[in-house]
Amino acid sequence: MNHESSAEAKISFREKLAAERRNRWLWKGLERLKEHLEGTPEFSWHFEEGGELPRNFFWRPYRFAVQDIVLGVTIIRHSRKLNSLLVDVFLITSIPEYEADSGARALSLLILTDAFKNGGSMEIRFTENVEGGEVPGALRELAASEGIELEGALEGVIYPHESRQLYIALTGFTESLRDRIQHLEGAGLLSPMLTCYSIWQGIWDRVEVEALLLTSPDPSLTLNGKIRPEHRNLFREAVSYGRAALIFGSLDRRLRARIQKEGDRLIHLEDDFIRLDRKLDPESYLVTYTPESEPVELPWEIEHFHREKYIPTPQMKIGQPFSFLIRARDEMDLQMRLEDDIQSAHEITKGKKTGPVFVLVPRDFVKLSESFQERVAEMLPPDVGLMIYPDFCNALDDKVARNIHQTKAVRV
Amino acid sequence: MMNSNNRMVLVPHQIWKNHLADIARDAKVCERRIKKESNIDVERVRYSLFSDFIERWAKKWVSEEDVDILDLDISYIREIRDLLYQENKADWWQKVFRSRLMATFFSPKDISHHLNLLQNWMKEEDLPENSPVHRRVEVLQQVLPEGNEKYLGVVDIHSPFQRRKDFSWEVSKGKKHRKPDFSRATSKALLPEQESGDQIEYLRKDIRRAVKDPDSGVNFSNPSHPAITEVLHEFAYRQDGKKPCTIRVFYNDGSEGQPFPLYLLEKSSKEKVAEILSKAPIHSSLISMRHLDMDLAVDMAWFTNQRASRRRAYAETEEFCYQRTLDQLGQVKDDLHIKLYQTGLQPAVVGFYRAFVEYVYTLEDQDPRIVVTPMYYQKAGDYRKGKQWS
Repeated sequence: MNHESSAEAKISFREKLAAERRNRWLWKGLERLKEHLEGTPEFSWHFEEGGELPRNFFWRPYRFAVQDIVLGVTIIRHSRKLNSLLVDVFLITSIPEYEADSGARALSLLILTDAFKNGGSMEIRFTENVEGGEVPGALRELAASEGIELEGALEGVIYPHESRQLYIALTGFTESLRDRIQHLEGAGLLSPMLTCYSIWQGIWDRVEVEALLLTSPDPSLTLNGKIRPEHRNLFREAVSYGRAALIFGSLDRRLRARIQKEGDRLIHLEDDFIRLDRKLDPESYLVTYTPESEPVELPWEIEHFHREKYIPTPQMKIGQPFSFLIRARDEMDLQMRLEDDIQSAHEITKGKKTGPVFVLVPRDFVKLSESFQERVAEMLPPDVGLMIYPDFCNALDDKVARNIHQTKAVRV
Repeated sequence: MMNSNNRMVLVPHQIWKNHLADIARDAKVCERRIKKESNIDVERVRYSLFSDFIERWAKKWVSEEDVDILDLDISYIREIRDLLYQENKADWWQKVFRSRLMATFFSPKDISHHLNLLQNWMKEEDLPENSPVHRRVEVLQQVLPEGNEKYLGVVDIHSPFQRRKDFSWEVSKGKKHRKPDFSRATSKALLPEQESGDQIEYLRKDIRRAVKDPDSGVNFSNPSHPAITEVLHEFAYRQDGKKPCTIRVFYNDGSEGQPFPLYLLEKSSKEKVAEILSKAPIHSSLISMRHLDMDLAVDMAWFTNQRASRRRAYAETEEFCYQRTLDQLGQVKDDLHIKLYQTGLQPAVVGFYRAFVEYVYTLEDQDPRIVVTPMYYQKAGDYRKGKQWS
């Protein structure tokens, strides 16, 4: 009994010390933040108005917030001399509604993404103003929770190989995705760091990257940014699967978004999502969703003949699965292949718990002749529908080309 | 993961000529400019549009007609890419592009070259018989018997989202495959045109069409500068039964230059030309700093690169070069022979010769006469003379 109470007392004493230490460095950090903001000439960039972003070797303040709740603030700059990223302020908050390490996770990803973008060695160095020149405790704990030991933590350094491990670990790929990335890295076709960067820089959504890695015969074409339009035969391959990934990402976000009505306005709050179970079959590009917490509305246009015949309500109930067979084909390809796709949607789902299946195609479908559209309507089996994505292939292809171009602009 | 396949659509020469030849020619001009990295972003967009047009046409043709078609998987392209990547990581993409190994269309006169390239590749790399490149060669050899290669064009159409389990990795002939009918190809009318004369012939046709239909015009961005100079020379001078007229001038950026006058000039007398040619010529490059090896051959540059190549609409460049040429020709005090070492900025070439035509047309008897001999760069500092403008 005595032994237990003494242990508890030790823990509480340690926590108290840690809290005091955090407080001390919090005040120091806030003081430093104030000095930077007052001392730094006003940047010409404003988050609402835009403008010119500061060069990477200036001290740059960043705030990470969700729905106006600040999770962390940092001030960083790239050091040309050391070829590493310097961190002068690293302040995180603990918000009860979010997981305890959310702030540390957000700022770590922000810092690692910046380090990658700057093209340095990926070494991160903390100045004396951050917890006395040590790697912040919250970041150390986060790394430890991912099984990464930071050897230079007391000297305030995260070494390049540790940064790389941490970046990949925090991106949180599943085992099958890690295997796929490793395989592509082994073949010299894709850098895992570049893949992480594409996600955190917002070039590709995480869902889109997952879809590309799992379904594309050669995801490196779309993700590594090396392909150019003049490599036409492979470029169109990269664009086709990139286009499908964009549709998939858009579908996923649209299904999960909880849309609320406020007067005449529809509002989607950042970070407010519906819980859905998702399974992607990489062999057929069939994605099956099951609502877990509340009914889900189907997005976009379903051809009128299905709505009346097969889908009595546009809402899918809790526990009721429904699926999409994604076929991002252009107009001529739809003409050649859509009937086969509908047939295979029917065959794939035989004996499987997929619920109603929608063959999801770009808006190019409406360019096809009325007789072809009628023929498609006639051949639809009772359990298969046709859903039209609101954009045409041209717009999607432009977006893919832009993403490829953006990836090209960074190191590999 | 899923799979994609390539379907080779075989297009007989006559059909190629009627439907795809013009667009394929423009696409190859884009390829040439991309290689030279000239106006590369615009050329990439154009190349995508042209290639897309050709592929869409082929898909439409396949779905409407009973045509020769062969299914192949796309892995031969990946095999080529991977082999080149292992060989030279630094410029593997460039190498693939330069050899047109990743193009999706091969005109009837390109296809034998493509086949030879793949065959050499197979030998050099000692590829196994079941390799995807080997399979493509095998299929092409089957449908293109020796000596008949030039009668068929090939368009590779792409079909993504194939389920892997449905896909056969073996070479399989398409359902509609049949051997092409080569008996038709014996007619001389089906013979392909000569490569070298193509650009000149196409430009000639375009100008004739523009003369007949004054609302139409000619896009001067596509032909090479020697083709433009030579063909404009043919049309600049008076011809029996032809009235002086103008044609509209367009460029790839959508801008329209001033109309170009045709059938306007009288040919100078041979004696006068001979007299001017007997004097020492001025060697001038058209634009400075574009080909530094040209500096050894020239005394001066007609336009400075800094001003002629400024970023602006092509029509504005043409207008600048026109005005500048008129100014400079106006300052000539005595008969003059200019050897003009040309470079490939089309609006500058059009602007120069438009000004030259107007200058010569408005000459008074006492004014100095000028003869221009265009010089076209060949290889290793060698130049070819064009037709003299006088």
